[in-house]
Amino acid sequence: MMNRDPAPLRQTPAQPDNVLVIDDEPGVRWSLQHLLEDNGFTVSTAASGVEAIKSLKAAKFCIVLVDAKLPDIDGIDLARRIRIETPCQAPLILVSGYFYDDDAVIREILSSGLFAAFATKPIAHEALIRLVRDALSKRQSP
Amino acid sequence: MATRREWSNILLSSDKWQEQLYDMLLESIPSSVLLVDRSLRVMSANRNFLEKARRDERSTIGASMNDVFPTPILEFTRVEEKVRRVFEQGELLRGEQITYRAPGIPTRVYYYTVVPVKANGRVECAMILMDDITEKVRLVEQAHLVQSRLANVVEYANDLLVSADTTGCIVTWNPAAERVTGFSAREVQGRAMVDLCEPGDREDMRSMIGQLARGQTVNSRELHLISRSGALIPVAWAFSCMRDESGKVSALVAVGRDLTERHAFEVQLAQNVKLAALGVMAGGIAHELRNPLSVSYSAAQFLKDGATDPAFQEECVQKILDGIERASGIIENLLRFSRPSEGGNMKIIDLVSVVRETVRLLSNQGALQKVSVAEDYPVGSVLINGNTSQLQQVLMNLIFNAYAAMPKGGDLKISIRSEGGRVALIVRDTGSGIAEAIKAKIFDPFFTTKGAGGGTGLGLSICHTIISQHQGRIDVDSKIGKGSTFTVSLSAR
Repeated sequence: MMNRDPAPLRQTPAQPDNVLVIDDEPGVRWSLQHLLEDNGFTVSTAASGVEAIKSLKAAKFCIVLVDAKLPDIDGIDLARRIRIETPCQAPLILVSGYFYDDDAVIREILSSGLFAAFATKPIAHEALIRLVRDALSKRQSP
Repeated sequence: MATRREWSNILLSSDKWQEQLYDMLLESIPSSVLLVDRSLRVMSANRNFLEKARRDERSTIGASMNDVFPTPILEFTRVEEKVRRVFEQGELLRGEQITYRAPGIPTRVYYYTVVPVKANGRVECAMILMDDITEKVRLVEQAHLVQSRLANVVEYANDLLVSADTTGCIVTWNPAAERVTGFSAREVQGRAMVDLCEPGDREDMRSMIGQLARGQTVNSRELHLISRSGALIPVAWAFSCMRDESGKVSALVAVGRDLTERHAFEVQLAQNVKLAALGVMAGGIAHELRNPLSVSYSAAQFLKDGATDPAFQEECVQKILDGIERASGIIENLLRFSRPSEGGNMKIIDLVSVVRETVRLLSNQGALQKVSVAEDYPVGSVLINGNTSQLQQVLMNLIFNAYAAMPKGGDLKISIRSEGGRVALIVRDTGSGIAEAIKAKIFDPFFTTKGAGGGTGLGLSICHTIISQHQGRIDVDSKIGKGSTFTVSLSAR
């Protein structure tokens, strides 16, 4: 079952500003990419769960933004698979228009630590950047 | 063989014969006969009396009448006093009922008559004739009981029970009919059933009464009554006719059920099912709508924050326009779905476009569940007479059920076939399938295989109702573990 790949061959060295954006909607990828790049991050994107797993096995990211509904997998299931199937330990941020702030599901995934934060769509730029920075600073100064 | 005259000669000539004949008669008649003299002593008692009283002749003949009847009877009926009066007045005393219980046998009820037997103008003895009417009394009581039970059934029934003569004039009208219509039995007795119907239903009622009067059976149907307040009351009627002994139709019987509440409930159900469907869709809608909103919102924020590159500015403006257009399109689809049903308002519609639009509305949910949706429609339009929003509701229910049957993904194929004046809408999934044992129940209201909170059990029942209203049929073919195929068959226009 555990499909952990202990030594990914092509994994690049750690890059502190490398962000992975997972979203099937091209427009959302477009906006997040511009926003994060404007704020000094390097952005890679994935349009599906399969693509995301592949990227995470190949490269190391400091933060991962996950859409809740992808064509091939639910965002929350994808998060679990990322932790099991890839070496990625970076904070995950759920970005979705599917949930609301105090949705029972959201409270659960935040309290269990599966996700570091939740951002709702439509995305407010300042708020999202703040979430990303908070998640990174918590990670860097435990 | 003796002639008639010879017989009478024998009888007249011989006192002995006469006495024997009377004895025979006395012994064989089913009445108890007791003869008492002026001192109220028993002169003779016939076999019937002795048997009923459980006495023998020896202890009875010559005994005082008071010793022969039990004390309670004597006291209660005062028979002694009555016999004495017969002796004094010489007039026949026509009976009264007495209840007599001899030791060891069940209570019997008698009807008695005291007959004065005169000789030379003086009453010499009195004959007490007693008929055992126990059985008769029991039957009468039983008849009363049955009658009152039947009366109670009619009285307390929740359904309207109406009887009419063969011309359809009301004879009886039970309290339920009074309650539902506001008309009392007295007010409607003798009036024609037809007159109490809604004008539009009168012809129907008239023709049914005609058929019934000719002894034909008629199917139950829904006809509206007009209540005292003028309100129309939907009533499901079952008719039958009563026949007399010769087999001729003598009366008509109508049993009606007030459908007002049920109709209100059905409307409510349809609404609830729609709300439930909307609930399931809400997630998908939120996702669908918030994506274009989010893109537009981002683009506007980029512009506000002073994006300087003219090409990027142009890109932002375009994203804003596209996003708004897309969001608006989704809302339009929703409006089309949620616009209240036109309530049986049928018109000529293109089934292909209705189906295509509905499938598109739900495709997001399918994609999330890894259900691949295939569509197969005839080229061009397929015209039917139908109600768009109701047919959309049917297809949505079938698709939701298919999704629910394929939690781990699968294939859903939606096709339309048109041949020989019939149109078939086929929804085929590769899901869990339906067990043979429950196949007959799936169209029943409230039947569901989904757990608590999972389903209302109304979806297919509503589908069935809607398709019936379209004069069509809905069938299912299913194999456990292989999947199900629902076929909606409608007539082509």
